[in-house]
Formats: sequence, C-alpha cells, structure tokens
Amino acid sequence: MRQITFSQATLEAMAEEMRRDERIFVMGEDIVRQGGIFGQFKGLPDEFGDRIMDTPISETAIVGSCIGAALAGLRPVADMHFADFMGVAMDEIFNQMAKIRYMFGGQTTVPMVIRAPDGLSISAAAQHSQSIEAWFMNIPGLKVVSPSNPEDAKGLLKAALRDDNPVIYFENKILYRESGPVPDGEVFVPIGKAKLVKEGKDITIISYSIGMKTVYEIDKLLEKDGIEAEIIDLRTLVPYDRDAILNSVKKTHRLALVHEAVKQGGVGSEIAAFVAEEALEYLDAPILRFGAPFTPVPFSPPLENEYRMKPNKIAEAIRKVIK
Amino acid sequence: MARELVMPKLGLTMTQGTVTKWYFNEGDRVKEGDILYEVETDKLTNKIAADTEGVLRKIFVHTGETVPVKSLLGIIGGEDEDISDLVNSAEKPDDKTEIETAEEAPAATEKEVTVNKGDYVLATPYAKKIAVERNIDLSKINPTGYKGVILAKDLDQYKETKIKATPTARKMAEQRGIDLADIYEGVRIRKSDILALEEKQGAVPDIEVQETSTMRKIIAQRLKSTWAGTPMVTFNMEADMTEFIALREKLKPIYLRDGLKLTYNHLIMKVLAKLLVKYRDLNASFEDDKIIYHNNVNLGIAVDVEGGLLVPNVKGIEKMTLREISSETEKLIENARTNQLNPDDLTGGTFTITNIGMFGMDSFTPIINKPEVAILGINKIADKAVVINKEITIRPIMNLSLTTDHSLVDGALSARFLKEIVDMIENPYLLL
Repeated sequence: MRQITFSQATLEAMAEEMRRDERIFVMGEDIVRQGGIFGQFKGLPDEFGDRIMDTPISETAIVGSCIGAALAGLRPVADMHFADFMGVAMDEIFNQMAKIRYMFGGQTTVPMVIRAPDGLSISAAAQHSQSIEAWFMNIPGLKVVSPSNPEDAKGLLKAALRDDNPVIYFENKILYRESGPVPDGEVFVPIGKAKLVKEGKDITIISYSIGMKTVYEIDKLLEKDGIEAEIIDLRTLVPYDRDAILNSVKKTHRLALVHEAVKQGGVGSEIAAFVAEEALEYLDAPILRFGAPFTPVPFSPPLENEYRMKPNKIAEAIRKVIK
Repeated sequence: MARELVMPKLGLTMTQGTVTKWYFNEGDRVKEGDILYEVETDKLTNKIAADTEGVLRKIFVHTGETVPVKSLLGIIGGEDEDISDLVNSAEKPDDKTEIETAEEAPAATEKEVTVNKGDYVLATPYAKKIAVERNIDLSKINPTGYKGVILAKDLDQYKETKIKATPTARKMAEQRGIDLADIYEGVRIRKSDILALEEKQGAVPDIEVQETSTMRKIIAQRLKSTWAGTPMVTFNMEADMTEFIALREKLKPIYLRDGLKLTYNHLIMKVLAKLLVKYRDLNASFEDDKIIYHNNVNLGIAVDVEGGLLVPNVKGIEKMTLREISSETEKLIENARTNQLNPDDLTGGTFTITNIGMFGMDSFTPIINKPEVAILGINKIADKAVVINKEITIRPIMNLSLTTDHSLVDGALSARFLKEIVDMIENPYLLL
C-alpha cells in the first residue's frame, strides 16, 4: 500500500471533500500565504482559490464567522493554528457552536470543523505545547476526534466534514511528519468507533493520537516479558466507544490508559471512572493512568524531556500489576 | 436521589411481612433488577428486586424481623449522598451513636498489609467475583498480588492443590460436614483421621434441630385442622384411558405448534370444568355451618415447590377453552416454582386436583384443601389386563382418588360424581 504522511492525508481529505461539496471553505491564519504552519494546507489555495481564506489574528473572529456561515448553510473549517489558541475563542466554541442546535430546539445545525494542532513539539513552551482535549469531553454538544495515523487522519477528517454537528479535530504536531499506509480511493472512519489495534489477553492499553506511538513502544517492551497487551486506539474521544472498552476489559481484566495530556482530569480519568462503574467486578488489578505531571509544559529541554511519556517507566508499572 | 425501601403490600389481604433474607449488606452496590431481599407472608415467600441502582446505604429491618406493610426496611442511595434526614427520621435514638463513630473513623493510610484469617480479605474485584462463582473461601487463599492482594489466578492455584484422602474418609467427612482442608497437612487423610477428629470434637449428634419455615408452619397448621375437623372419605375408581390418550396424542402436536403444552391435567381440568358446574355440592365451601356454592370453578393445582407445597388456582375455568386452561395453568405452575405467585393466586379456590402419577402411584388419600369440600387425586397411567366382553385385554388404566367432606357430600353423590368423571374420560367426545 502507498505510504503518505499524516499531513498529506489531511490534505487529501480536504481536497476530496471540497471537490465533492462546494459549501466547504477554510478560514485560518497564514494558511494561504504559508500553506499552514505544518504544511497541512499546502496547494489547496491553487485549486480552491478564495475558498481558502487568510484571516486577521483573531480566533474569536474565525470561529464566530464560521458559526455564522454554518448557520447560513455553508460547511466551514476553522483552523486554530495551535490548539492552545482555542482559549481565545472559547465563548464562541462552548456557548455558541456547541449550544445553538440545542438552544433552537433542533431547528438548525452547526456543521463545522475546528482543526486544532496540539501536543508537545520541541521546546515550544507552555503556551504552544498543550493537549487540551479533555476540556471538550465536558461540553455536551460537540464531537471530538484525535487520530493517530495517516489513514485515520484522512478517514476521520472526512467524517468530520460530513457531520452535521460541530467537530473538533485534534491533529498532533509531531504526527504530521509520520508516514503510514493509506489505501487508494475512499477512506472513511466513522466517528465514535475505536480501533482494536492488537489483540491480547493480559492487559488492555487504551490511547489515542501521539499516545499510540508510545503504546507501541510499551508493547515491544512488554512482549519481551511475554505479556500480551490488547491495544485500543480510541480515535474518537466524544462520543467514546464504550462497547469496545468494556468488551476488552472483560477479557483482559486489567486496564492502562495512556495520554500525553495532563493525567489529572484527563481522558484517562473519564474512562477509568466509566470502567469502575460498569465493570469493576471484572478488574483483577487497579486501573493504571499514565499522563503528564500536573504542571505547565516546561521550555527547558531536560525538563521537557522529563515531562514526556516514558515507555520504559510505563511498561515497568504495568509489569508490576501483571507479574 | 435516595430511595426508601418499604415492606411491599403483596396482595389485598397482606398487613405485615417478615424479612427472611437480605441478599446484600449495607454498603453494597446494587443494580436495578438485583434481588434485594426476601419477604415471607402467611401465604408465600417473595423475592423483591431493586427498582433503582445505587448503594444499599442502610438496613433498618433485619433478617427475621416482622413489620407492618409500608414500614421502612432500608435505603438505597448514592455513594456519598447525604441520607441523614431519612436515617434520623427512621432510626431508633440509640442507633445514632453507631453512625457517628463510623464517620469519625480515621482514613486508612497506605501500608503493607498482612492478611489474617478472619480479617477483611484483600482481593481484586475480579478475584472476589470468581470466588463467589466457585464458592471458594477467600481467607484460605495465598495472595500473590501487589500489596498482598488476592488475584484471580491465585484462585486457580487453590483449585489445583488437591487434598488427598481415601474415598471412605472423603465420604465420612462429607456426611459429617467436615471440611477436609481444615485437617489436611500434606498426608493422605484416612478413616482413622476422621474418627480421631470426631473423638476430639465429641460425637456427632444423632439429630439435627431446625426451625420450621413459615411455609411449613402454615402447611402443618392447615392440614392438622382439616384432618382433625373433617370426616373425609376417599373413593377410588379406574378409568380406561384409551380414548383420552388418543385425544391427547391428536391435539398435542397442534398445541405444540402454538407453543402450548397439553397435559392430562389440562384435559382432566376441562372435564371438571364441565362437571363441577353441574355438581354444585362439590364446587362449594363449608364454613361455620354455612354452605357457599360457587358459580365459578376456580380449580386449584397442587404444585410441588422447594420446601413445601403450593396450591394456586386457575380462576373461572368453566368459561375457558382447553387452550386457555393450558396456558393459564402452565403460567401459574411456573410462577409457583419461581416464587412469583401473587397471594390472590392462592386464595378463592373451589376445588383442587393433585397429580402424583409421575411418581408411579396407584392410589392415595389426598387431603382436602379447606374450605373446599373435595379434592381429586390423579395417579399413574399403566397398561393393565382387564376383562372386556369376557375376554382379557390390555388397556391403559388410570386410577382416580376422590376425597370428599362427608359432612356435606354424601357417599352416593361422591360416587356418582366420580363415576361421571370416569365416563367422560373414557368417552371424551362427551366434552363437546
């Protein structure tokens, strides 16, 4: 199968969907002139002209305009440059975009996508390195996806563009450059479906986005000890795939949750609580959560390195409960 | 929102009930549909399921206590929900102190824990689940998990450590209720070991005393008073079942197609439905010098259940088709066996049948279910040599045993009634 990068995969998804549906357009900062800070919009202006729009530096204006356009019947895409900047447009996101369909009794929908590059890069410091997906798990009215590989990146972006509800599409900065197999032709990944990446019997490890890269390294370490991990790529965070999680935990009786985002109040906390509620009697070990320490992302390279997920430490903690 | 559990009113006549068992302890999490507790009334035992999920926060009425209908039995609430208002309004004052001290208990700190027999046993939830399923005592398991916790796999190892014992010793231990694990020291257990243990513990008692269940008390009381106060006569007569069997064999597959069973009981009930309308003296009650004639035939069926006998009755069978009799009867029997009868199912009967044919009985003297005045006992069907037209032939024969209350029903009437039942069984076309 052909190999393309994550960023090319999102480009393909945009181009294919924009050809299919002329209501789709994009607003963002430096996306025409620069092609997006990670090259994820490169070439789109050549084909689609003014359907790719540079805006002043105002996330409030970008998201606000997109909501208005969506209400008027278009299908806008708002690029946030860095997920960290979503805070600027927070009222538009959580009080307007997420609520309008509900507030108006379903008379209208807000079919739009917010693209939000997130995660650690290299010394981008506390305001340009965050993973903030957990915030949006607490806001009814949104869908949240976070792909981990080129194929899912393409398939989920297409699903997001065709969804009649607002979808936040978190795309990891490091993953942009990663290559992976993507089939020719239509690639579509339904929102709300996790992927069972690898079957195993000893422990279920759940992650998403860049966390999956770490999980594959953890798995290699565990395999050396004869531990067979079952690996689930969540892909969609809201609504998350409850059946996939329960089925796996009932089989392996152990659960580890891995993400780059802060551990406290993270996606892992929600899933841990869900499993404790629904399948406590199936657990043969405490639920393990792995996430970042409760501190801003450091700029200092040694500290930033310390902040990152550590496959060997996580594998060690997992070994302890399996023995 | 906390849910108050109250003594349910399980029938028109119920005024009080006894909680005979709680399936959960205080602090246990319960799911909607879980059986919470068992209530015994003077008529039957009912299992009550939770209609909400939550934590069983408080039990007010403990096992063995009898309280009026609508009394507060316990509270289901959220884990941390404040239920003190409900507790205070229900609690006896001297119980309050217990709650306060419980709240003041210091939070447990993390430390190495050694597990002693009798202590709270540390085990993972999954290990506990398996222990319950396999009926394993967790205090006998060696923990291998983190912080001395029993893991599911520790239970598998327990299963593997086989206790060696001679077959005789094993049998003796089982009869005497001795747990071999308690005396096993790695050497094969012999008969002499069991005898030695017995010597040490004192001889096994010759008898075992058990409190009677409410159901058994009621059965005993009712049968004794019937037996003592009723001049009962049992009449026996054999019926040639040839035609009856033929009828059933023809109808059975047709009924089966519609998911219905067709038993001899159903057919005999149909016969009785027809005849009891005519023989009003047998479809009557006799109480306090008064004869009550019933215009409906509410036919009771004796059902053998765990721990006793229940006689639910099918109401108004004189108006029912055979199909209706079949489905209603089977539903009642099923409910009786699964403890789901309504108290009203057990009252208002006008006549009873009791079938012990499946145990191979030829004849018996059933006891009337008072205040009814008659009961029909049904026996086995067996091929017998009979003389017909001065020739010996083999026919399927069933004996019927009718017991009547002679104080109301004279012998001749009983005999005529039984004769007519037999006639109709031998010539079931009369049912048309």
